[in-house]
Amino acid sequence: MSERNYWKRMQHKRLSRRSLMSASARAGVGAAGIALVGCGDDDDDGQSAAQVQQDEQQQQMQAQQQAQQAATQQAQTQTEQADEQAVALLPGQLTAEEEAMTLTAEEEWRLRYHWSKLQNLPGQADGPKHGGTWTLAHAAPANWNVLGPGAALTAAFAPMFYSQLVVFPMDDFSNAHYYENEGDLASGWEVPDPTTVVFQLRDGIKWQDKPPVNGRDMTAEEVKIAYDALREEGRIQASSYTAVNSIDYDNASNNVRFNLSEPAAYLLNNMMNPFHTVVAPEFVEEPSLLDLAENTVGTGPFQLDSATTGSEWRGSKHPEYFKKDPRTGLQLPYIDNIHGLDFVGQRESEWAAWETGETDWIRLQDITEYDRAIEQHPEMVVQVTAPPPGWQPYMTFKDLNAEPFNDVRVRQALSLGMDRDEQAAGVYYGLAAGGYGQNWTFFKDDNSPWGFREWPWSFEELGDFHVFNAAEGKRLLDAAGYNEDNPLTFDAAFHTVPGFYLDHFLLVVDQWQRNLGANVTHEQIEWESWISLLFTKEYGGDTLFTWQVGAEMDADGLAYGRMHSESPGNIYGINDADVDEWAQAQRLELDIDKRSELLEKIRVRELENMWRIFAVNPYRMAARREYLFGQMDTYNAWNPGWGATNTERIWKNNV
Amino acid sequence: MTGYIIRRIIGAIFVLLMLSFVVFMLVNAVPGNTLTRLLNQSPQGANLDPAQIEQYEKDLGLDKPVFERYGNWLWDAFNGDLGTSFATRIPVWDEIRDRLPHSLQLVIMATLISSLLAVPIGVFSAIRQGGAGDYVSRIFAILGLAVPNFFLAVLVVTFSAAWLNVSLSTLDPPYIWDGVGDNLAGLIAPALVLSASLMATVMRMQRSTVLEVVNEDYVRTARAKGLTERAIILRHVIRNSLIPVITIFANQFAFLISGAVIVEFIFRIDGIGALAVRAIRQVDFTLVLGISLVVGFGVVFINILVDLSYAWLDPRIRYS
Repeated sequence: MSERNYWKRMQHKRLSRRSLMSASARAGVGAAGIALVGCGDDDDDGQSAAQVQQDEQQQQMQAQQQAQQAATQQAQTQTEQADEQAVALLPGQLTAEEEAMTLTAEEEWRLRYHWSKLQNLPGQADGPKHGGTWTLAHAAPANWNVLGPGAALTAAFAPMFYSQLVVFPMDDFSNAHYYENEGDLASGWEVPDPTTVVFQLRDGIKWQDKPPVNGRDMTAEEVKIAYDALREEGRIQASSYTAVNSIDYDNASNNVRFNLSEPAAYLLNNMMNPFHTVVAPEFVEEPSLLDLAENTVGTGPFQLDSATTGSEWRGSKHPEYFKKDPRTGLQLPYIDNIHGLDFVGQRESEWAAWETGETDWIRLQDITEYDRAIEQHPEMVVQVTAPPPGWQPYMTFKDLNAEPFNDVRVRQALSLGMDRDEQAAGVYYGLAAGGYGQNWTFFKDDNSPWGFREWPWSFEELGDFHVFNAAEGKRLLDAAGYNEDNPLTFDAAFHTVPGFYLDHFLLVVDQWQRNLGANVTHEQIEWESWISLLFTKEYGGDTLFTWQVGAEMDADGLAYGRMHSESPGNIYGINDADVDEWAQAQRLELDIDKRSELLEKIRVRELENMWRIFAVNPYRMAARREYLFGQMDTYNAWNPGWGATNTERIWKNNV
Repeated sequence: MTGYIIRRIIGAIFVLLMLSFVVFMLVNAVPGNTLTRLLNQSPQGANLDPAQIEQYEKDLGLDKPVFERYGNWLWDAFNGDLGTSFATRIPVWDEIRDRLPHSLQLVIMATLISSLLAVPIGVFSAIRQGGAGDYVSRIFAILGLAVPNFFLAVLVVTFSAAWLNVSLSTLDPPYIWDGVGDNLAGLIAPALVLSASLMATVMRMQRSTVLEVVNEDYVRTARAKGLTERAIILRHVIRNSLIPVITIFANQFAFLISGAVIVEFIFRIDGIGALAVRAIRQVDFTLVLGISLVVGFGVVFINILVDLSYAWLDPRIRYS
C-alpha cells in the first residue's frame, strides 16, 4: 500500500509553519549541493588532476558548507519572521503582503478570519482552564434516538454524551478544512490486511452513572453490540458499513475486529460521523427507549441532566470521563456545565441573549450582522468558515429524462446563464464562492499539510460551464431548439421563508430570464411542504431550488451516495455507466492520490453534464466572546458541538 | 337552565368533533409527515431504501387510510388517550399537561391586566368624554389595536436588551408553585404584551357602553334620587356596562390563546403555544390534534361559562 493511505494517515503529523520553512531550507541546501557537485570538471589527468579534483572537491564542500550556512541562516530568519508574523496575526488581521494585495470581499474576509489564526488568540498561552458553563444558542432536539430515523439530527448533541471508536479533533489548533482521524474509545487501530481493522480500546472506560448502566465499566463486547446495531438494515448509519461482514471482540485483549468483504476507503471517515455512537446493549435491545432524553446515557464527556424540546437542555461533566487532551495532557472535559438554549425561529431573542452576555457564541448570517455584533462586543472573536459540502444552493431537476432537461445543452446553457459573481455580490455581500464538494480532494497543493488545497475553487476551475457566458448559453439553447420564437419554458420552485436563500433563488430565476431569455415561472412553497419535496419529488414544477446535497464525512457520500445509479441517495436520477464505475472504484481505492483522481473524474463528468446546477455557496461566520476558547467551526460543522472533541476541549479563561 | 346546559354541552361535543376532523384533514394535507420531515432534514435520510421508510411508516401507523387513522384516533381520544407524539414519542397528554400551567397563567395574567387597567380607564374615558385623558387613552387604545403583538414582543425583547441589558427571552420562568418571584419576573413582560390588544379592545368597549348606560332612564332616576355620582357609576353604570365587555373577554380568549402562540415563542415561554409551533413544524399529527382539542375545549368551556354569567349579571336574562 502507498504511504498516502487512508488507514495510515492517522500517523500523519500536521506540519507547522516552522517545519515547512525548515524543510524548504533543507531542500534548498540539498539542491544547491547537487548543483555544485554537478558543476565539477570531468578532466582526469594523473596526480595533478587528482590534486585538482581534490581541491575542487574541497572547494565544493566549502561552497556547499557556505551555501548550507547561508541557507540555514536564511531559513532561521524566515522562520523567525514567520513565527513573529504568526504570533502577531490575530483573527481580523492581515499580513502586510495581504494588505497590499487587491482582494475580493470573499478573499479578504476568509484571510482575515481564517481558522489558523485562532491559535494565536491572547490568553491561549495561559492554557486551558477547568470549570465554568458554556451557554450557547442551540436547538433542543425533539427526539434523542441515535438509532432512529432522525439519528442524523442528533449529530450536534450525541458526541457530547456518547463516544465513538473514531472521531476527528476539533479545537483552536485543528485544521478546519481537514479531518484527521483520532481514536476516541479506541487508543489506536491496526490494519493487518486491507479487509481487517482491529481497534484497540482504551482502558478504564466507564458508562455514565445513570440507569441502566449505572457507571459500570464498558467492555469490548458492548462496543461490538453497538456497532452491530449501527449496521443493522434500516439504520440510517447502515450505508457506511455495507463492507463490514462481521465484528468480533476480545474482552481479554480489549479490542474489536472489523472484518470487511472488500477494502473500504470511506469507512474510517464515515465512522467519525458524530451520530455513529456507542449505546449500551440495553438500548440496542429496546431502541425505542432512546427516543427520550432521560435515556441519553453514554460514555461521553457530558451527562445530559435535563432537556425540554424546543426550549433548552443542560448537561454536566462526566466525572469518570476517560480522556485526556492529547495536546495538553489535561483531563477532559474542561468546562463543568453546558447549557443549550433553543432559539429556532427567534432570531431577535437570540440577539438579545448574545447582547446581554447570556450566550457566549452566535452565528452571524452576514456582514450586517457582523457589524451589529462587533458594536456590542468589540473584543469578540470571529471565524469565517467554508460551508459544508452538503449545504450548498443548487438547482435540481424533477426528471432528467424528460424534455427539456434531457438535453445536456439545455442544462449547460442554464449554468452558463448564471452570473455567479453577481449572485455572490448581490446576495452574500461578496462572501461566497463556487460551491461544489468543499471537502473533496480535487486540487493538489504541496504546500498544504494535507496535500490538497482548501476551498474556494474558482469558477474557471469548475469547468467550462461554471463561468458566466450568456452568449454561449443562448447558442446552446438555440442549437437545442429554443430561441426567441420558442423560448425555453419551465417552472422553478422554492420555499417561502424570507432570507438570503430566497433572494438567491429569485436572482437565479431573474438571471435565466434576463441572460437567456428563458420563460421561467417560479413557485414558492410553504417551508414545511417544501422540505419534503426534494426526496418525494411531488412538486408540480420542473426544477427545485434546494441546498441539501448530502453532508457526509467522506467524499463517498457525494460520489457513490448521490451519483451511483443504484444508491438510494441518488435522488436526482443520475445514471452514467462511467460514474458508476468510478464511484465504485473510489470506494475500494486506499491510495489517497489515486482515489482523488477517481473523484476528480466524477467531478468533471458531473460538471460537464450539469445533472445538478450548483450556484455559489456562502461562507459562514461565527462570533464568540473573547473568554471562550476551543470552539471551532469546520467546513462540516457549523453546529457547535458537532464532533465529539469540540465540546470536550472548549474552555473559558474567566472561570 | 339544566336543559340549556345539556344542549350547550351536546353542541360543544359536536363543535369539538368538527374541529378535530378539520384539523386532522388539514394536517394530513401537508405533504410528508413527521418521518419524511426527519429524514429530509438530514441528507443521510436519503440513504434509506423506500422499503425501509415504508416500514418506519408502518410502525407509526402512517400506512393506514386517513379515515381509518382518524377513526382510531377518535376512539382512543374518547377513551382518554390522545396518543403519542410522533416526534418525541412522549404521550401527547403529558406534553400538554407539562406546558398548560404556563399558558393558562399567561392568559389569566393578560386577562387580569386587561380588566384591571382597561375597565377603569374605559370608565374614566367615558365620564371625562372629550377631555385630555379621554384623548390620551383613546390614542393608546388605537395603538394597542394597531400594533401586532408579535411585533410588540420583538420590540420589547430587543429594547430591553439594548437599554436595560436584560434578556427577557432567557429568564426561563419556573412554575408559579416553584417560585412566585421568578415566575412573575419571567411572565410579566409577555403577559403585558399579550394583554395589549385585549386591553385596547376592552377599553374602547367599556367606554362606549358606559356612554350608552349613563343616558339610560335608570341612571337618570338614580341621579333624581340624589345618589352621588360615585355611587351611580359604581352601582349602576359599571355593572350594567359589563355584559358586552364580558362577552368581549370570552371572544378574546381564543385570540389570547392564538396570540400566546407567538408571544410564547418569542419570549421562549415553554407553553402550549410554543408546543403548537413545534408540533406544526414537525408535522406531528397527534400532537397538533391533541393541542387543538385541548385549546378548543377551553374556548368552548369558557364560552359556556360566559353565557351562564349573563344571568348573574342581569337578572332579566333567563335560560329555558
